[in-house]
Amino acid sequence: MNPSLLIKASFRRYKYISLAFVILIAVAAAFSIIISIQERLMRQSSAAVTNQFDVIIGASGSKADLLLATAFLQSKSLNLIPTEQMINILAEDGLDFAAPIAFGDSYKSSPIIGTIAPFIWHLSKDKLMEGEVFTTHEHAVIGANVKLKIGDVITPTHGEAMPEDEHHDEDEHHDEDEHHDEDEHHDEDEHHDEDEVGHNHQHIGSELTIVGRMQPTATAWDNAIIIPIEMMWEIHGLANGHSDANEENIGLPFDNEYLSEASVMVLKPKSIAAAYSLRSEYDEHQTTAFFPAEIMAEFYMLMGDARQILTLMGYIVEALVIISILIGISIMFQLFGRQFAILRALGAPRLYIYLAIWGYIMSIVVVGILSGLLLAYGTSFFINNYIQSRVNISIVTSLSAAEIWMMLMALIIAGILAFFAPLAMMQQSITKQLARG
Amino acid sequence: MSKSLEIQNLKINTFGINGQTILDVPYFNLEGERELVISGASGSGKTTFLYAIAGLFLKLNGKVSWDRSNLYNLASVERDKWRSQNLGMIFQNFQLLDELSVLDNILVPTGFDSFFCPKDMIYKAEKLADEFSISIHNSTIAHMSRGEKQRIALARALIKDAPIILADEPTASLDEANARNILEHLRKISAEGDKTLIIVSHDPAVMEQIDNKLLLEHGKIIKNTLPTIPNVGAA
Repeated sequence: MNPSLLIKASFRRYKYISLAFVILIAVAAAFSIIISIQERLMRQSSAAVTNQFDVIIGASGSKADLLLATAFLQSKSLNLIPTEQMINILAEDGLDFAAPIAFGDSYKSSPIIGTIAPFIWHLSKDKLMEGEVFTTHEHAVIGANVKLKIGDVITPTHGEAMPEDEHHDEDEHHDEDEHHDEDEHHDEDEHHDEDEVGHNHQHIGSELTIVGRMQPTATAWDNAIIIPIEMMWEIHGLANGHSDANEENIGLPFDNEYLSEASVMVLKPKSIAAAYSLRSEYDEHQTTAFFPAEIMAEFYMLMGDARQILTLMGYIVEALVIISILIGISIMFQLFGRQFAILRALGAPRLYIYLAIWGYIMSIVVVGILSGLLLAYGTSFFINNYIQSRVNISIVTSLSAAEIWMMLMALIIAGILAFFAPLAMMQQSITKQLARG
Repeated sequence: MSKSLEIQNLKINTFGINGQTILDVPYFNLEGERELVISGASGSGKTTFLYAIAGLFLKLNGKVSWDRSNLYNLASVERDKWRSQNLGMIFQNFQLLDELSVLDNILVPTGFDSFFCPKDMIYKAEKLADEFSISIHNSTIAHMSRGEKQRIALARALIKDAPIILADEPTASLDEANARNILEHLRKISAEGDKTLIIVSHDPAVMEQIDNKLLLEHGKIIKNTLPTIPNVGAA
């Protein structure tokens, strides 16, 4: 008994209706899968990002702002940590490192961040993709996705990085400015080349040479240019953390009298106990200390409620579409029942007819759901690319077992519902149907 | 060996309280005879008679027995199986499946018994198509002539070599030469295979060639030329 011939024939006969049903199921399935994928990927990606920052300390203020600035490199106007507190933190026992971090400059679409070498090793999992970590103030290490190569020389711009597309216009604008300003400032060693807005300006004379590239970190840091914090302080006319005698030194230890303020400090405690102790000690009136996971947990709780509602909506939409389609197909087969009457008159077993109708319905559902999975994956890929370009967070689009299971459930439910669709068909009078031919 | 058919107290009404009787056959017997032609004016109940003896009604009043077994006592699954194994049917409007190819249409009844169509069946379908001058290279049958469709329906009825052939106006759409050819073919196959051939037809040529005739009018038998008739309904 092989009803495939009849299933094929039904597809030929109702090709446009079948296509419409497939599209409807695909869109409904995709809708519910996309919600699930996006929620999961956002959660996983943000967790992967924040996991790399054990304890964050900033000047007293919003923890969310500090987290966004540190983990996601979202430009925020942050207060600076008082140097006396930085000195205390740097002197703490129980730390693998305490990395002061300074923001504020950029090159094209990449933010330039000042910090110390141990933090680069930490982010890059103790191994660079190529090159080496900075050994002089004029060296820079780039994130895995930065479109520069080892040996390139760049001039930092004061101010935040802009997305590639927006930056393009700015580049042209800068080129004009540079040309215009040459006459006025040609004999100066270092000057600030201001644009029309008067906000962003190049730190001319502070050229940086790219000497290394980090491994991918799946964070916004993949798009960052990391320089010694000493250079960042120098560019901004601040003490570079070392005495005149040691002014070419790089990294820890700093000379306390020459230490400048930093936007945040990222701590890598040696133990959980040390982590809790530090968080508690520095979460006071001058500084804010927190575990990024705390903030993310609150965020996930909020997101979780929204996800539940959206997922439920997705299920309802999908269920309604499948039920509508089953009703539609049942009506369709009632209208075009002659073929089945012919087959029954020729002696086709009921199971044969049944499998032909059920097989046709399930073929539509299976093709629809598989198309929905592909559509969801494609759409999520597109959405994630957009998010990555805007939010500087690395999101690898994937389907999880939960999403596959969700679709399997839809398939099983459709299979059960489709079980009833041919029943009405079987009750029809053969002679009446044949009389219609 | 040809099958015996016996009908007792068969009455088929249209639906509803005031349902009219469309077929009323108190008794009919076709035993020891291989051929029968049923004729009558339009609406006389010929096709209903054919459908009744094919077991196509869900249920009916009376008995329709093939080889002394009442068809309507069988469960519908068993009746489907009986039809599949015993009947080759040719419908008045061909009742082909337009979306299937010519070859697939001929092979439809063979798909009920096995998952893959046996090669000998494909060979037989091609042979039948050749005998009836049907081009199997035409992938769709929707635009074929009525004559071509009629021949495909005929090939489909013969593919399983069923012991009973029920043909509703098998020559109606054919020219004289083709009609003669088809009728000869049907009779030859019936004779060679000792099959029972029951034809519904208006065609004088058919009436002329087949000795056993049944004439229906308003659902009743008004003439029966069968030699072995214990009881004639119209009597």
